[in-house]
Amino acid sequence: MERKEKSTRQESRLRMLIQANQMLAQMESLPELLPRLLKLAQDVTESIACSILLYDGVQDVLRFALARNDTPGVAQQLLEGDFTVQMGEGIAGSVAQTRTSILCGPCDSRINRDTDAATGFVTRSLLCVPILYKNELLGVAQVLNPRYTESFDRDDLEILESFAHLAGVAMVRSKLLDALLEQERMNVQLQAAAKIQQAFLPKLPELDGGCHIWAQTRAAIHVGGDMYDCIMLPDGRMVTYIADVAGKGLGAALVGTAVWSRMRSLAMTEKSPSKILKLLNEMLVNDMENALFVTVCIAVYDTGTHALDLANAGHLLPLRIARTSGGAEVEEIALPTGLPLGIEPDLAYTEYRVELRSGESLLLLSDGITEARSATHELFGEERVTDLLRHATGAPYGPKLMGGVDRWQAGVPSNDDKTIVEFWREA
Amino acid sequence: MMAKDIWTARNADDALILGGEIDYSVTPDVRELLLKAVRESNGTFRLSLGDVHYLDSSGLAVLIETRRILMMDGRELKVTDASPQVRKLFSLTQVGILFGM
Repeated sequence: MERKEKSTRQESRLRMLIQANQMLAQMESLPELLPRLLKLAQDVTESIACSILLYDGVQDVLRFALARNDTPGVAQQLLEGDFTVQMGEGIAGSVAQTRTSILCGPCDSRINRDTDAATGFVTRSLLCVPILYKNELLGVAQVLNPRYTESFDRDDLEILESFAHLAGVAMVRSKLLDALLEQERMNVQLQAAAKIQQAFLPKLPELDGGCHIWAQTRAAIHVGGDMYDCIMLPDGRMVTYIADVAGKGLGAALVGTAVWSRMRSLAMTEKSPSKILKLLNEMLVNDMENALFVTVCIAVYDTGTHALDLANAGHLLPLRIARTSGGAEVEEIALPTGLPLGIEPDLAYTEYRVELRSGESLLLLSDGITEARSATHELFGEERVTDLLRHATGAPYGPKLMGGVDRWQAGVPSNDDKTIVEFWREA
Repeated sequence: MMAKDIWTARNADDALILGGEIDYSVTPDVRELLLKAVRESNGTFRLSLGDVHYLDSSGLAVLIETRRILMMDGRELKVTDASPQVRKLFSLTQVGILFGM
């Protein structure tokens, strides 16, 4: 009769274990999972109290996570404690260190009677098991005092070990789901940031006297460190620049926003591009204490005289393209280049003047164009840029170059932000 | 098909030698290694980039940060060797002078 009762009890607990598995499969977040784990551990072992400690791999300690005790008042005392257990310390620490379960009966000297004295709870028997996933320690589960017997037995231990296995899978699953949700939240924020960054791009002006401007930028990952702007001044001059903040993503985009706003205000007060770069450099050296730097090529174009004043801070040199009968001649404008902005204080930049003649284009590029990788990991390179432009049939050349780079990168994610700014005079 | 070169690092008698491709996908690891090497060394920090086949702007940013940290300690970063690609980048951005090149 006794054997039959024990067998029925075991069957009932196994059913509970199966139900626990089904329930755990529906849990999606760790905060929701832990209280449920605690309750289930108590149910399958028919115990009065239960606690779960999670392993902190950084500090190499167990951290108390949650406790439940059906004796009024006791669990609350435990929950208020924010304590850690060293590996090897006490029963929980030993289980975590050896990854071996412990069963204690009423007279076991390993039970800490000081804790009993502090909480008013008398521990008769205790089970403590590791929660593992693929041999990785996630925590320990501990149950105290069986409801219907004096002491836990080997069957109880096996049930709790099986439960700990299910708990390990559920915890890993919850962590993965939490990470996925976090990633999704981050994606939504990045998409919003990308829209804001797009809004910073200028509306390109209609120029007089057969002059035109075209520009495009594409971020490699939502938001980027490339940017351009086009600022019309009251005296008819146009300040245009291309800038590339080292790095990618949100950090680079935020620095880019600071550059954008300062450049707008400097362009209205400073006439010379070299002075603008100098002042912007001072601001960035003072403000950016991290390792970010910015390359900038700036062109101030007088739409009346077609004089172009250029200054360069570590950026790719601009290209001048002249249309010919069979295609185009392409040359790099060899203007003196200074250090990128944000690295060294007290720098001076040199200005260089050229004239944009009829039928000529000026192209400002970012290195995402020349360093675009193909599916075979090959760089697009400066030679391909020049070849493509030489064989293009007239301005604007920018869209043709961007199209050529797109074809080069077909089927592979972009490895860098890509930007082209072009202005040209009709022939 | 060209494959991406894994970045490498090894210690020689007089310099830390980096190799392979250093782009934004590996710069956090390169940064950690460089800053650790800086902490564990004294005097001028010598770095060989002769085997670096590709260095992008985020890699360059790590070198500039390393130099800044050394300078705060009264030390300097000396690049003892550079591959043609790295030399071209140093020349384009004018930063070679910061590393004694």
